Amino acid sequence: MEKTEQALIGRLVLDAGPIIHLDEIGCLNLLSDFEPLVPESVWKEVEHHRPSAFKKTGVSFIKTTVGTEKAERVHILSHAFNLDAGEKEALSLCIQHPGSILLTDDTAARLAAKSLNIRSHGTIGILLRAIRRNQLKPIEVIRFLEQIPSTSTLFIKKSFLNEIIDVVKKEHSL
Amino acid sequence: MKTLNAELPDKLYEQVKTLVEGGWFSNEGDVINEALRRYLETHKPELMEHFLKEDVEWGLHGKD
Repeated sequence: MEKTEQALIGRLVLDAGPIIHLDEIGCLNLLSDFEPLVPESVWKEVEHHRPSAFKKTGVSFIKTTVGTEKAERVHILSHAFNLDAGEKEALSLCIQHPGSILLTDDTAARLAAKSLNIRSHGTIGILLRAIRRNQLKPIEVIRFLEQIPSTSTLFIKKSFLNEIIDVVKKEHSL
Repeated sequence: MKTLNAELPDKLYEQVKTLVEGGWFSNEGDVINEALRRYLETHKPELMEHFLKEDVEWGLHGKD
């Protein structure tokens, strides 16, 4: 089935954080070349905290029900890492869909993903990837990175953010 | 020992109170301490930095 002009290159399971953070800086469209699955609990969380996010064009978010089969390891890990319902459902969905990438900005969720051999990335990864995928120019990504402290609720240490900006500048001779 | 004053949402406080009334903790402060300790355990600065570095590498040089 022809879905988009640009081929989808992978399945992404989304946690609430990156949806909210990318929307805050106006970059939600960077997810358009993924198949973006959103667990029901995450969907509710985003609708509550950032209702505008799902109304944006360009990304067809797929509200996805997590299967009823027991993901015992996720259940155990969610307690050990104090994961919330959305993070827990996102991990379960990743197990249901092998090969998918978990997109989360929560350190504990990423630790749990690592324990389950699930690949995970966050908002910063998606922003930088936009250069490689020719979605944004390096200078545009730098501008978005610079905006994060003032326009986004994503917490990132200022000095580390500056280091990331320097890496982009260096790699692209800016 | 330091004393912190913090405002909790009602629902969160009710959950804290339930744990104390159920005999799982001796007071509200112990619940807060335990919750904070566990949060800090899984949100160490070096871990956050590690995952961000992974993101930078994937973002700039990944394959997908």
